[in-house]
Amino acid sequence: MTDQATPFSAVRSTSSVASTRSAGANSQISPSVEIALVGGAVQVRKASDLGEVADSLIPVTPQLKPLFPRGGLERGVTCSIRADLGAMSLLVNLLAYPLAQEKWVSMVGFSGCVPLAFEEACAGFELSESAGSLSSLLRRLVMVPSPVGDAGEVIGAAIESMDIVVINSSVLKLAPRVWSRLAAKLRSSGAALIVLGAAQGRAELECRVVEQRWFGLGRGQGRLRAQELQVRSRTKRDAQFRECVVEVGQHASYGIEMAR
Amino acid sequence: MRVMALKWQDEQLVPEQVMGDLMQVVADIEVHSSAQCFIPAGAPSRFYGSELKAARAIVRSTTSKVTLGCANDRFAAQCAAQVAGARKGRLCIVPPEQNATFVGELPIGLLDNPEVCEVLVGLGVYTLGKFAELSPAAVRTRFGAEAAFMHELVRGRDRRPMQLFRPHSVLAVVREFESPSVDIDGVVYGSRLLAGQLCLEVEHAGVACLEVELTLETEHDEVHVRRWRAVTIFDQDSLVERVRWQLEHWLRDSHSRPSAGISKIKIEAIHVVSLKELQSGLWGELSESDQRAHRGLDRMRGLVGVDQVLEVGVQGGRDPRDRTVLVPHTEASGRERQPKNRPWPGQIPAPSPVTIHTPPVVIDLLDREGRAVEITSRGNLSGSPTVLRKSGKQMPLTGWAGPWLADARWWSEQDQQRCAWFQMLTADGHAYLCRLDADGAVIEASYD
Repeated sequence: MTDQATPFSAVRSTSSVASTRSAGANSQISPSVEIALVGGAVQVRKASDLGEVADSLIPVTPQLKPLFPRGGLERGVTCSIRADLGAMSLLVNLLAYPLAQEKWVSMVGFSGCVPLAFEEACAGFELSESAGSLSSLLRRLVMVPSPVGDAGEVIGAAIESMDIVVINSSVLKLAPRVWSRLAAKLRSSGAALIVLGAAQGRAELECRVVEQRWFGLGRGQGRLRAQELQVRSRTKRDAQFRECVVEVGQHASYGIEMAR
Repeated sequence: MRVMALKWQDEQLVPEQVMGDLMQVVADIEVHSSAQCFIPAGAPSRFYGSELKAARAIVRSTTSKVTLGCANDRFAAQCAAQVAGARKGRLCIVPPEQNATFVGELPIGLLDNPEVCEVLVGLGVYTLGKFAELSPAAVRTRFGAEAAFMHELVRGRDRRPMQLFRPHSVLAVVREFESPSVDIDGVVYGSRLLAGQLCLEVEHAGVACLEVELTLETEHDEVHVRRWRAVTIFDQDSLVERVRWQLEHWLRDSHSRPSAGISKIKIEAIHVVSLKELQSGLWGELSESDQRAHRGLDRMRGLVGVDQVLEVGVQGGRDPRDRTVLVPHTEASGRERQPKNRPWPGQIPAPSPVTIHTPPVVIDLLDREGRAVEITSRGNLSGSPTVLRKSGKQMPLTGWAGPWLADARWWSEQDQQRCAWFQMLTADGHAYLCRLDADGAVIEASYD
C-alpha cells in the first residue's frame, strides 16, 4: 500500500512513435517544424508561423493532441465531453498539462473533485522555472462548486478572465439564451470552454470515452495501477472522427496484467 | 535590535490617544497591551541623532504621563521602563553592552507570573540573572512551556518579529446624495469623485490600498456591505468598477433588493501597505494573465460570495477526502495544513480517484452466498466479495483488492475510526474506492 517509489503518470499515446519515451521527454514538441492535420490536408508549418498559432492555442498533453484538429484547445471554441464512464479521468488529464503550463482553469458546477488527482497528473510534466511547485500550480485551479443565483454571470466572468473554463451542464442546466450569451462572450475573449455533458449543439468538438480499461487489480490481490482510455472526437463542421488512446498511471513500469 | 518600551500609568487612557500623539514623531509602533507599546529604536535614534534625544522627543510628544525604557530586546526595555517609573524618572536607557548585567540584577518579581516567582524565591532564585543561569530544559520540565518562554526572554532571546501598527482609520470617504438615485449609472458617476478622493488620501498617507469595504445605503436605511480586494492596488477606475459590481449585484439580489434609491456611499480602506512593501512584494510578480484572472476572481466573488469561489490544495493524510483542501480563494496563501512530507501509514496509493462522493454512496458488499461481507476482529474478511449492490441494482465484481485496514485517530475515543478500504472494479467498468466499517459499506470515491 505504501508503494510510492515509482513515478506516477507516465502518460503515453499509442498513436505516436514516442510511446516508449518517458513523460518528461514527451512534453517537448519538436521545435523546428510541426505537421498539422487540418481537414485531412497536410500542412507543414515553419517555426516562425507557429508563434502566432501557439497564442490562440492552449497546449494539451501530447497524448491527447490527436483528438484536436489543431493539436490543442482553441481559444474561443467550445468542446464537449460526454458525461460517461471515464469522462472525469479524461477531464483531469486534459486539464493537467495547461495547469502545468501556468494556465488559469475554472471549474463551475463540479463538487467532489479530487485535487490529488490533478497533482498526480501534473507531476508527470516538467515544470517551467517560474511555475514553482506543484501546489502553486493548483492555485490556478479555481472551483465554483455551486454558483447560487445566476450561473450564467459567473461563467461569463470566468470566460472573461480564465484560460480554460469547464462547466458541468447536467448540474447547471443553463437556459438557451444563457448559452447564446456565453457564446458571444467566448468569441470576444481568450478562453476555451469545455462542457461536461450536453452542450445544446454548441460544441464544435465532441469528445467521448469509447472504452476504459483498468490494470493491476486481481481478485483479492494487487491494486489499481493504470488506466487506459480510448477517446474519440468528432468535429461539428466536417464530422471527422479522430481517436487516441491515453494511458494513465504506472503503465510503462508495470508488467501489464489484465483485470478482465 | 534596539527596542524602546513605552508604558503609561493612566489606566483610563485610550491607546489610540497616545498612538495619535506618537505618530507625530515615530513611524512604527507595536501595540502590546492597553498600557504598553514598543517602538523599534533604530530609525528614530538615527533621525534625532541619538537614542537619548529620540527618547526625549517621544516622551515630550505626548501630554500623558509615560515612562520609556530602551534596551536590546523587548523584555529588557519593558524592565527599563518599569525601573524608570520606580525611580520617579521618565527615561531609562540601557547601553547595549550592559543589557545582560542590567537584566541580571533585577528582582525575580518582574516576571509576569506570581506562581512561578513564588516557587523560584523558595528555591533561592532571587534575581533574573540567577533565573537565566538555569538550564532551559530544567525550566521547561519543572515549570512548563510558559515559564520556558519567559526564561528565553530573560536570556535575551526574543525572536518574535515586531508587529508594526500603522493607524489608517482616517482612510474612509463618505458621500451622501441629496437626491437619492435609483439609476446605476448615476450612482456610479457620483462615486467617481468619492473614489478619487480616497485615492488622494491614500496617496498622501504614503500607502497603497489593497482592500476596501464598500457600504451602500438607501433612503430606507437598507445597507449593503461588501469587501473587495484589489488585483494589485486600487485606483480610481477600479474602485468605481467595484461600486458598479456591488450595485448590480444588489439590484439583482431577489431576497434583499433595495426598495429605494441609493442615498449614501462609503468607501473605507481596510488593508493598506506602505509603498515600500508593495514594490518588493506585488509588482512584477503578477503576469498579465494572472492580473486578468485575479480581476475575474474578484468579479466571481462579488457574484456568488467569497466562500463559494474555492481554491484547491493537497495536504497530508490517508484517504483522498482527508487529503483534499478546499478553501476560499484569497490572495494570502500558505495557510496551516497537514504536512505532506510525514509518513502516513495506510495511505491509499496512487493513482487517486477523481471524484469524491459527498455523502458517500451506501452499498452492500455480498459474497458468493449473498451474505454481507464483514471484517472479523482479526481484520480478515468473512467471505470473498463477488457482488456490489447499489440502490437495489446488483453488479458483479470483476476485480477487487483489500481489505486495507485503517485505525485512524486511535488515541481519541470520539474521533476513532476503524475501517477497511477496498478497491472495487465492477463488470460495467466502474472503479470505486470503498470503505467498510461497523456501519456497513460505502463508496467513498470513483476512479473514473
